Amino acid sequence: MTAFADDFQPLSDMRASAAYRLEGARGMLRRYWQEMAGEAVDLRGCAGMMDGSAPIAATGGAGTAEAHDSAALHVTGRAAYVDDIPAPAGCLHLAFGLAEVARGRLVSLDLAAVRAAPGVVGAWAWDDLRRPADTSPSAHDEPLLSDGRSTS
Amino acid sequence: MKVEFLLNGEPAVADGPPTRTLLDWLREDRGLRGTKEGCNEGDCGACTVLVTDGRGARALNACILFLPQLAGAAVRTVEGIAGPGGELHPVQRALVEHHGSQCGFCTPGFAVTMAAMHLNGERDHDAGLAGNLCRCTGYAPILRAAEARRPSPCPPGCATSRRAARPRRRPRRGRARVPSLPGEGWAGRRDDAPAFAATGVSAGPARAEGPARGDTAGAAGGLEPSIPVAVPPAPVPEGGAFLPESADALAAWYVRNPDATLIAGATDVGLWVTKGLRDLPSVAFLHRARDLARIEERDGRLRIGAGATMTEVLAAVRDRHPSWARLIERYGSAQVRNAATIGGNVANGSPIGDNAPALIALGATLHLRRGDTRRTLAIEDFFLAYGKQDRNRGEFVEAVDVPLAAPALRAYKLSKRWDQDISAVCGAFDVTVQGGRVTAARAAFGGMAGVPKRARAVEAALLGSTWTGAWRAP
Repeated sequence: MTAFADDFQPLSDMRASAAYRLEGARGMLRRYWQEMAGEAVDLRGCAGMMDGSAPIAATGGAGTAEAHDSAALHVTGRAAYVDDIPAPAGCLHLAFGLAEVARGRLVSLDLAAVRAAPGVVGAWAWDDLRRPADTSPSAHDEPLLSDGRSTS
Repeated sequence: MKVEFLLNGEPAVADGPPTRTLLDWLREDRGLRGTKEGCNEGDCGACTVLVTDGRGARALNACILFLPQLAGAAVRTVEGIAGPGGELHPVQRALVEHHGSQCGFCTPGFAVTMAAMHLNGERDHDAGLAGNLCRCTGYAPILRAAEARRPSPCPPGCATSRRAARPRRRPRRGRARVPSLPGEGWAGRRDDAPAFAATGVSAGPARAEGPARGDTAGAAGGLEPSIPVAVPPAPVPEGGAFLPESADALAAWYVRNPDATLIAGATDVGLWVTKGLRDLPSVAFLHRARDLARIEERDGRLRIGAGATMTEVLAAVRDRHPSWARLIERYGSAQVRNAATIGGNVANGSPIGDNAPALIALGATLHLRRGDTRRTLAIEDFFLAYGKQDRNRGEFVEAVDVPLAAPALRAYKLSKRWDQDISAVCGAFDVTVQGGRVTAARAAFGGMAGVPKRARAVEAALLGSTWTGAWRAP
């Protein structure tokens, strides 16, 4: 079992851990061995991946199959999405300043440099607005701007 | 720089820096917003367009397609695949009838990919549509639509053979037996590419009279011979790009411009621009150097030109190296394989590039060229360290050659997703067993080190061991 470790000290990243990579590499050699030795290859665990040809059930049922009322627009590219609508002349753009930590307390906020930047029309923090900047329609638990207590 | 091509059957001139993407130009300059920006990195296929040039007709991701890559080509967007009277293309009709859209954002991309498959007579929808992601409709109705369009009457001239995808010298008019059907604008009239015309482009002296006319497309089918270069290449205008017509022209130019970025399919460099927001001051586009894309048998080996796309490589190795071919089928997506080149994949030296393990196991030889000087090396020796290859300034990958056959070659890929995913581990083996004992072994892995790496200790452990009985890990 040492040859692989002699050859490789793989890294761990979002795709796979080092141990998983080593195990995968060993598994590949084992599969190769089995394949070339004419043995049946055990693909349990990845059978779902191997079989991309699940049968498609026939449609049917009660009622009539009505086409989506925008289908003809979808398939021809004529359905307009927000990004497809040209911005009107003089359109202002909004950008959020985001916290650089996942959770913390907002101790102070100095937007002077932002306001002084060329092209900036305005900059607002939570307490610059007359009403709570909350986007929840009912429970009022979705603050759009940090109220200073946390940035969670 | 200005680039001329056909857009939905009409001549168009695109003006912009060489690294402006077709998607941005379509949406922002031409107001053609049917082509969607999803991921802007070639994963989702919402921006799929149909491009026809000397290589045939194929689906490509417009988000990582730079304007100079289209010089002299014919482009069809989702707005251009219906008939002139607005009659839907069979794939569009099938998508409507089989409820293949819900939010509709991915739908234009699906429609164009399906139209390309329809044109080329491709039937494997799981494979062909793997590069189009849908996140709400679900694939079942989309695949039903793809299946259902098969028997649909085709627009005149919209033949469903691979042969039909090849540009012809003349439009095949007069063959329509059902003249009331749509399609005159779509594959009924062949999108003959206009004569190559781009201002602000240095095409080098070996400029072809016109691309795509009468070319034969296809990977292993042999490409037209290169055009000899007799004089030094012209200087590239400010804000322009170099589009060599031959490997010779590229070699002569690159040795003088070694800091330039060479762009073949742009499936990697495209992301430098769209995601890395990098400026590329000096660029050369290699897709017009057709001799660089030649795949041929030479000296008892299969020599694959660096500019061959992975679609072309797949066609060339499907019978010769079926296991590698099956791996290539999981390499990117159809759109990516239609653009990405084997030379780009090797030259970029990624530790997770999926060709390298198979090439190392096959004992591939790499052909490098600087000016008129050529050298070869075993491909595993090219990868020195992470991000570092054995490539000199002004030197480029010209070709790679592999054996014509290697019956014991097997290549495997481990990734989170079956299709269109980056390998966690990619392995390839070629082991010779005689009398039950291993007499020769080559093994290589991607994803296991900073480079694609030959597993020499594993090979040594295998040598002489028995290939029967119970499995013992080396």
